[in-house]
Amino acid sequence: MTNKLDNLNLVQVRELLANGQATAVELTQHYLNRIAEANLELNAFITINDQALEQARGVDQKIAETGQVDFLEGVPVAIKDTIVTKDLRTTAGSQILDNYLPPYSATVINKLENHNAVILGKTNCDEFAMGSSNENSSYGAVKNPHDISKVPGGSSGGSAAAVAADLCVYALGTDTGGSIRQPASFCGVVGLKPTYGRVSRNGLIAMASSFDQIGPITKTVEDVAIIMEAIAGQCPYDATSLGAVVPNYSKMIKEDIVGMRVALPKQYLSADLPKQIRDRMLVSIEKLTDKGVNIEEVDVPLLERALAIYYTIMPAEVSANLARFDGIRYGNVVEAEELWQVYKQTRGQRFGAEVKRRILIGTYVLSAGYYDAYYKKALQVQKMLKAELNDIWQEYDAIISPTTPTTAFELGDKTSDPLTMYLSDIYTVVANIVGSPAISIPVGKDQDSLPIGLQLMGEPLAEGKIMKLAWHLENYRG
Amino acid sequence: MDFKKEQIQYLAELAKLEVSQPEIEVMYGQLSNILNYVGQLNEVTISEVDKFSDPVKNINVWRDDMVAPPVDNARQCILDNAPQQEDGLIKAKPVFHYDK
Repeated sequence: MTNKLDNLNLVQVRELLANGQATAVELTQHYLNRIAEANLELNAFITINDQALEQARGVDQKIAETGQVDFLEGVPVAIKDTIVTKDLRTTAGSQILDNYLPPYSATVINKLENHNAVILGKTNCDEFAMGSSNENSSYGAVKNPHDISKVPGGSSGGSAAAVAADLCVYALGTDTGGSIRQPASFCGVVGLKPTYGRVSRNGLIAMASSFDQIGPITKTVEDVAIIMEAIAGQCPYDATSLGAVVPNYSKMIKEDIVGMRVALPKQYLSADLPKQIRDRMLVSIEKLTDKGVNIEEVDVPLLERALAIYYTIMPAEVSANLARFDGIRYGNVVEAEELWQVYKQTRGQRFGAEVKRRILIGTYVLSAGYYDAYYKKALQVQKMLKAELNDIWQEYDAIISPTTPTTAFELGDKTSDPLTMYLSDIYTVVANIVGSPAISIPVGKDQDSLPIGLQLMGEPLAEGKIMKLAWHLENYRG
Repeated sequence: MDFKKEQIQYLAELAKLEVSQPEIEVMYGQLSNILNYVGQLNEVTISEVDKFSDPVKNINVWRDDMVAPPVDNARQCILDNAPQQEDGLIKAKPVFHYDK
């Protein structure tokens, strides 16, 4: 049975609300029904917001009184469970926070609520956002809506699956090494990792603080632009947030792209890249060329080291950030006689295997005798990679690449071999290492009807440029 | 660089993380592979890099340290999240013990 509310993007929902063809309550009930139906199979949500309908009623009342509909008003959204929401359970996908009710909301949540968005619930994710398949969640793996035997990607797998399965209009995810873009690619939706500092991290449960960013997962590029206008900007509670003015992205994306320059690193044309992914990228390149974009092959040798840089610095920061989970102030404690035993047993029994691995690796690369060989070295190569890319930004507006080296893989396929799992982040980690924005858009499907993603990365604060290229690709008419 | 199985217990002690012997058996190979992979950075010749450089170009952001009114029920909410509380305080195990 078709429903006028099925498969709507943000722009379409706004139109229905503005024309009085749908109310916030109708929309919210529609998505809650869909979640109730689909979540048993997909496992995309950990917690449903039982205040959602109440929020929606308030919005409808306000619309009735003022006759005005603000741009995110009444639009149902899903939030990744690593973003804290006041009085709404926030687990970060971990047993250790199973009963955690945050005393405050993240800045992005306050911003969405100021625009009267309706929060449907909290989406499943890898524990503390550590994973590329969502199989590291303490609440069970999310299934890919395109094929439930496949992973949805990670760590924002619940958010990407919820958008792909039309269980919400859009979602927020978080991205430390690809956790928005890789699941967006696997689920056939759009995902943006903003410039480091573009969106406040206040209230994002930290994984690697120098890489983490919150960003939108949506059905269209235009939706990403609209949401960024709402969530970006400087925040007094995040000293790393940037003061640059937030541009009118939704206007910018429709501007002409003639004469823009895009770089294709030859390092990204590896022989291992599956033919269909390479072909879809080449088709996208043809489309951009057809629209007057100049695309050239470039050499960025240190891109080959990006994954090694990432998997050194990230665990180092993880080992420091996760020290706060000690079972004293919050969390699911394991009682013991001695204080040290409380710490060790709580952490040992409540953290999952991947979290433990990363804490141990991080402790190792930061410890005396190994710091110079691992952590310091990684910082130095990171700096050198950043310099190589700065040269690229002098001449090019964006770097084009696949988002992932494969399409969605089988559940259970890579769980016993963490290093193989890490390799699925090979194209995405670069943006986090250098603080750049990057967007993933769907560009077709492989022989098994699984979505293929394309990534566009820009220099810091160039969200507008990469969204513009992405919008023209998405709306290409030959 | 050689990573030895015995080091895992030591790292776990530093990280205040209980790991069992079966976990160590599984993790040893995994951690060795990861460290071996990231160790490739030692093949890169470092040139003209400021040792203490911060690749993320950010400047310090300052604001006055002001006491803000507590958010609604935040105090109670924070206390309620603690596994143990007493007289409006979070309760923890003693760090030091008196000898008899």
